[in-house]
Amino acid sequence: MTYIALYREWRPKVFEEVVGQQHITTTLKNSIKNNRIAHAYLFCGIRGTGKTSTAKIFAKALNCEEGPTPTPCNECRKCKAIDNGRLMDVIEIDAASNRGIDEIRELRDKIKYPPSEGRYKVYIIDEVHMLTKEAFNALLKTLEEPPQYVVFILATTEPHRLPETILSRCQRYDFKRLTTSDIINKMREILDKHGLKADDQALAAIARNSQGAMRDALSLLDQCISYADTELTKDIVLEILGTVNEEFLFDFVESIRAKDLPACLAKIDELAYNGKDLHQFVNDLLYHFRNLMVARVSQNPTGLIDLSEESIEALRNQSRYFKLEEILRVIDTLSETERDVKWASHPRIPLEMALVKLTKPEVDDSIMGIVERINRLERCLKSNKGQREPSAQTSIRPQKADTFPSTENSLPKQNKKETGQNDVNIKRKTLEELQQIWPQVIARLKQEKPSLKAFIQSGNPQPVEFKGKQLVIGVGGMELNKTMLERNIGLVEKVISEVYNGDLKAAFRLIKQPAPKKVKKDEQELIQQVISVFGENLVEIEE
Amino acid sequence: MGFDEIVGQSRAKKFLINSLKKNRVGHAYLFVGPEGTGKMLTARTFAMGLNCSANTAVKPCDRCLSCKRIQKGIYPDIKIIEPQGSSIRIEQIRELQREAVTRPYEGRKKVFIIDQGDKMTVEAGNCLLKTFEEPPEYVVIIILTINENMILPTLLSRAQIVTFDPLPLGEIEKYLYDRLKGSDDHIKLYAAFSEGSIGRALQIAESDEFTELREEIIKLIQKVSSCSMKDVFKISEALQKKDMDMNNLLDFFLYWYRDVLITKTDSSFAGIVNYDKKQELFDESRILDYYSLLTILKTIQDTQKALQAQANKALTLDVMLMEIKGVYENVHGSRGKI
Repeated sequence: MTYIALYREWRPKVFEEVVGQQHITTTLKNSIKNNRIAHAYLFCGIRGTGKTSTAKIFAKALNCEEGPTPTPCNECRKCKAIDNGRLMDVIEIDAASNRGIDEIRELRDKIKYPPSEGRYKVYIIDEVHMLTKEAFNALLKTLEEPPQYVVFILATTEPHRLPETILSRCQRYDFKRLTTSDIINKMREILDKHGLKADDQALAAIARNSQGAMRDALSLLDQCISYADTELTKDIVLEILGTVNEEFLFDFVESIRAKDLPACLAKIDELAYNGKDLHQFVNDLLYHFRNLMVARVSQNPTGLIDLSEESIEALRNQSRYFKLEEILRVIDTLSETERDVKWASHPRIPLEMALVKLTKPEVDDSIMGIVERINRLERCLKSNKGQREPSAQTSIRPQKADTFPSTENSLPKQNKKETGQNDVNIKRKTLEELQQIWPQVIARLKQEKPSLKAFIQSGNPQPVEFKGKQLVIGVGGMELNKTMLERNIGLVEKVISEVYNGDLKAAFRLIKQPAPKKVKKDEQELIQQVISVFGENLVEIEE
Repeated sequence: MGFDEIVGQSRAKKFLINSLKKNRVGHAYLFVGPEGTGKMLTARTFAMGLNCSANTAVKPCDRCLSCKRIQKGIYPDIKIIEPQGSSIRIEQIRELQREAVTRPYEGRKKVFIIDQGDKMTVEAGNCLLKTFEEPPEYVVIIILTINENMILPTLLSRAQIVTFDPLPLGEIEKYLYDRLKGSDDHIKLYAAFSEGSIGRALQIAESDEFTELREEIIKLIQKVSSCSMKDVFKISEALQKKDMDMNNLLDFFLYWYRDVLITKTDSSFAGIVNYDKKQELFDESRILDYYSLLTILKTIQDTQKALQAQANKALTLDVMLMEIKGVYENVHGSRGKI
């Protein structure tokens, strides 16, 4: 016998075999029992939940030689003919291929002939959402009042694309997604019949991945069976899916928690190098954080997380290191990334960007990111040590010192007392802070001693580095600029100390800098005027 | 042209070979993977395996008449469906359905290979559904695509999905080395820019302009940081003059700033694409902070999206460059970190 795909081989043959749709099969069975058969049904629901199969069973139930019966025999000539699509009275129309008005007209013309051998003429119109607008409208009258021997079954995955007028003429049945355990049980049954072995974890992984669609699950199972050399294990499933194993996920999340960006990037590189599907990885990661969230808030998460007991315990351990809002922020960011990765031609770039955001909250300008920064600040204030966490350095600026006296003012002095290699860091940091307040220093200088203005403008002094406690200021342009500033070193030091809130010695050094262009005197006045109107930032001087 | 000659893809190969061996060949396959990873080659080889007339245990034998004719593309029972113009239309699928009704002329299986399946119109995809689910027993349909999310979910669930991985860089380097007889110093660079696709790597390696173009674009990128706002338009013009797909061109931008981002994190990192420009990348990473880098990257991505949606090329580029320039000005303006 030639091989056929599992999902075709295991198509349900009676209502009882349709998995997870008891609410529908019971209703249909009762309607046959009580002889209350409607003339138009609409089956909707996502792929692989049993719409077409149920429609065929219903057709058999109506036309079976024993029937109409809720339990078609599957033995009689008519049942078999329906299974093979050979019974003239059960007409399966693929609306996606025959979508025009002409096909519907043909249907209307033939509908007036009574069934040739069965009791009912059953029209199964599959993928009905693909009919054209005209075709739908042509169908309306027939659908409302067909001859008494006709039953319409419309099946679709997208009921929202049907016109209201069609919807209101049908009895609607919504097929639900299947639960993971439904799918696992069915797969177990199939494997047992075929005499194949598989471990529970493997089946759980397949079921999780199929998102409640039986056909997806069976396709995947089929594939795994072909792939496996002997027994079906979880590793084989993961390999086929191109997903990573749990250990890797736990490890990766640990790196995110430790805000270890280089480690995260190295792991992404490893994935890309081994050719893993990054979109799938983002999905796995998202799911992991969802599980962390559940483990964090729920006392008894066993029913909510379909993983083994050990994994749940590990999740619970890991979740202790996360604050709930941190988890939410990660989920938020990753959901967005998932969208980007899905469409990107270079999926790793959006992923890498997301990791920068996750490990460096100060660059994340989403609400969640800002909340995390505020939380961190609050923690700082509460502990009242006046020490900032190092990675938060950009979030507090010296200008705002009076709002945060305890954290800010004491900082430079404290830094100076510290020793060792930290010194270098501190120096760089104070240099950065100095650079931020530098425009203020320059403005003050110009104010205090207008005669220095010209030299400042042409020399454009900038803080360059620290030598011991001495701040080296680089001056560009002519030697004269430097000399003039050196003569006023006392004033410069005073101004810096005042603006900066701390004692500093200054020294000057001549550096190469593109000297500002020379401008004629009368032009100078003009330019001053322009600047006073538009402000310095907006004016650019050109020859 | 047996399975051995396909570079990498051990997983896909093992799966298909096992299916042939165990006589578990399905009726519907979906091959998913980036361009140039060997999807079409594998599909043809698989078709050879299905129709090989030799009596060997391992198929295809690569020697019999059927195999040879399949290689030459003159076998009557293998049909390749490609986009006509920009899409695969419903008429083409109807044609396939008509042909599927007749038995194979000489082989065991009639194989339909739908190349660039993502180019199927929604109507065409829906039209295929029924045939894809239950074709006659002698029909095998293989859809090739670069992105499974662009295929109808109802088609996906009917197929056995075989993923083709981007090739490991090492494999590509080795392949290029053999192919070019090691005569090129830029092999590492080609591999890095190939995004794991042999096809793309070859294309890059064989066009002389690539290295030149890259140098040129990088110079332009560096100019953005130092020029004045109005010179930005000159850069934009220079970019537009390049006779090349804008999105590919912007990839240079994307990878440049991505490399800066990585360098900022860890300058010794091996995954840097522009690995020969480490010093430049390092300098750049001292000017830009993380936030600015993320902003720039987002801008480039948005621009690529806009260009894909047929936005005005000149305007979109102008806006992008101005935004990038704006980021630099902000950094300089606030005397940002060095």
